[in-house]
Formats: sequence, structure tokens, C-alpha cells
Amino acid sequence: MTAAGGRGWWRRNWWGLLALVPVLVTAVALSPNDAYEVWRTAQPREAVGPDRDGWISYGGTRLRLAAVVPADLRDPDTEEPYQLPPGLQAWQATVTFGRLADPDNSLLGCAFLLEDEAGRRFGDHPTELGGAELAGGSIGPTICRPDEPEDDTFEAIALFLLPESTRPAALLLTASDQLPAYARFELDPAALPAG
Amino acid sequence: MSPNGQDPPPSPRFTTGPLRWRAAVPQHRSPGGSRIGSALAALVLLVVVVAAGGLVVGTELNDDRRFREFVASGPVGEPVSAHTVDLTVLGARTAATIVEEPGFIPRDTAGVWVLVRIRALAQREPVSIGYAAVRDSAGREWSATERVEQPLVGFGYQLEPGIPVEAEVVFEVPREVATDLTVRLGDAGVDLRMQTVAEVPVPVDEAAVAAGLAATEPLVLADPELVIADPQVLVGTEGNGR
Repeated sequence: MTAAGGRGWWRRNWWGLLALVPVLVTAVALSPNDAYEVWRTAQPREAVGPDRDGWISYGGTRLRLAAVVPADLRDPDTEEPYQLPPGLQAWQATVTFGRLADPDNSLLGCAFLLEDEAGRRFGDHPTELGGAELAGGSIGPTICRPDEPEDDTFEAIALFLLPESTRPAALLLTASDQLPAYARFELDPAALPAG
Repeated sequence: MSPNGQDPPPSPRFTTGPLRWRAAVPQHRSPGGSRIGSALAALVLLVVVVAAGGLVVGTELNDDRRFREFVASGPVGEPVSAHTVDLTVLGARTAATIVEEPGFIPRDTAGVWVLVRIRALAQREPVSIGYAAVRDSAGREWSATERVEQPLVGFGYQLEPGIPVEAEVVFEVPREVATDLTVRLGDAGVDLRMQTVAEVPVPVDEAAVAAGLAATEPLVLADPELVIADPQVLVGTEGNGR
């Protein structure tokens, strides 16, 4: 191919080459099976915060944080304070829910997480608290369901175990059918009661 | 022919009939020699593309390989990051018979029990050790046994960030591979695609295997322990009766 011929090829095909750029970008961006997209949408990444009254609308209901305090754990046999391993602190979060829009389907797969000042997230009802009870009642997996479907409000209690060296900074609630959106209550670590 | 005897410039020109105009195009195609060259170049490019495709197929980049797990390797006694959880192999014990707790039914084996003691520390979020296996140098793999309850393996134990837990993971393997094992651990379940797996050689030698198989008493499995302080990391091979 001559030099003039080479320049002619570029002149005839420049628009096609230019069109390749957006086509490639679109093809990659819209790929429905993109593994990253599948993973990203399964993570709690889009925080939904409270309104001026402290309520969050999420997953077909409204919820408000009632309290985050050090948990009063008891030994179920002796009723004495439950002995945690040294260096750990249990925290208890109480959340008030409004009526569920669909008692059978709202907040399916709900899970509470407590975030510390370093951004680490701790799970509800950790394995280490399996032998403890809350003062005034037993503890079990937190469910986001009222005792009676027609109840206008109900409370859920979540329990967490954190190293003593850190304090809660946010409470999160996720529902599997709402991800990546999640409910987020910011906390002031300095204002929380001492453990 | 122009009045001055010279040919007019070649463009533009009009044709008869409907008014049409053609721009002067010097040449749409190269001369004959260049056409042959272009054809040869295209042929060569075609051969190169086909050959490159053959090479790609030859590399066996099928889905199993393209999405295979990421492996993080490390030595005994050093934390190895499996992305969401740091895993440290602290030591190993061997036995011919094990028991979950004193008084329980002992479990014997035609091979050898290998008990790998690990420390697990979640990094940023709650996580479980969903995958635990040992693999020999020939690539054969044995999952953590289901003949006894595994306190740390599976999804029954939720690790919390900043709270290290130590426990034993129990494997039942043929006698001849007991000194040729690498333990593989991660937070994935059965689907390892695109997951991170920590790999550490299992510190078991012939003497430890012989001692474990010669023991007359069943080996009692250790309970999981929280390790809030940072104790001295135990490193090395241990026989029965640790």
C-alpha cells in the first residue's frame, strides 16, 4: 500500500474507528452478566438516612432508632452478669418499626450491622454470645416481624460484640430485596453510654 | 482541447441527461502491483488471526480457569490474607483416633487424622470460614471431615472484625499423603470462582505421623478460643498429646 493509499484508508474509515469507542464502552457498561455489577448490587452501598423526625422509610415500612447502649447480659443459669471474654464489649440496639406494608414480604432477609469508628461492620447475635441472655428476656436471632401482623409498631433488638478499644458509629439495616440500598442511623460515639 | 492546445483539468465535469456532478477522484484502487501486495497482506493477517485464536484456545482459558480462585500463599505462623479474613496456621496434630469431647464416641480411620490449628481474624465485616480443604502435591483434595463437628468451618461460626479466634480444623487423609499437604482456607462456600483462598503448607512430618498413629488414647479435639490479646504464635509440628 502506498503512502497516499494509507492516508486514503484512514480518510475513508475515520468515522467507523471513532464510532468504535462509544460502542465498546456501551457494550462493557451494559453487559447484564457483568460479575462486578452482580457483586456490587449485593452489597449495602446506598445509604438511606432518617428524616427530621428520625424515621427512615425503607423496604415497605418506617423505622427509627430507639437506643444503642451497652448490653445487660445475664447468665441464664445464675442470673448473674454474663462474663464476656476480657477486652470485649457487648452492645444492644433497639429499633422501632412501623406497620409493614406487606407483612409477608416486607424486609425479607433483614440483617442488622453495627459499624465502628474505623468503618468495620459487626454482625448481629455473634457466636460468642450464644450462651448469654438479656436481662428480662431471652435472646435469639433478630427478626423484623411483629408478634402480630396487625400491630402498628413493634421493636427489634440486635446484639453486637465489639473490641473494647472501639465504639459504635452507625447502625445499619439491610434487606436482601432492597440492596444495594440500606437504612443507616449515624451515632455519636462520644455520646454513647460507657460500657 | 482548449484554444491554447492543452487538455483541460480533469474535474469537475457534467454528464448528459439528469444533472449529475462527479468529483474528481484520483484513484479508488491502487495499481495492479499494490493490489497483489494488499491481498498478500490481508492473507498474512488472516493467518495471524487464526493462529492467535489457536494459541488462545491452546491456553485452555475456559471458564473454570478464567474465573478460578485467587490464591494467597504464606508460611506457617504468618497471617495470610484471604481478602475478608486473615488466616494463620499455627501447627498440626495427627492421630489414628479422635473424639470430640471426653465420653463421646471415638472416631477411627483407615488413614490418619490431621488436625490443623488455625487463627482466623475477620477484617472489615462478619465472615465465616466456608471452605477448608487440604491438597497434596498431585492436586488431590480432601475437604474438612464431616465425621465430627467442625466448630470453625462451615457457616456456624461468625467471625467478627478485630476478634481473633483459634480452633482446629480436622481432615481425614490417606497415610501416604499426610506429610505432603497444603491447607486451603477461605470464606467461600462450594463455589470458589473469583474468591480468595489462603494456602499454607501443613507442618506435619513422618515422626509426627508415626507418633500420632502409635498413640493408644483418642485425641480430644480442642475447643475454639477467643484470642483478644496477641499471644506468642505457636509454630511447629506436634504429635499426639499436644
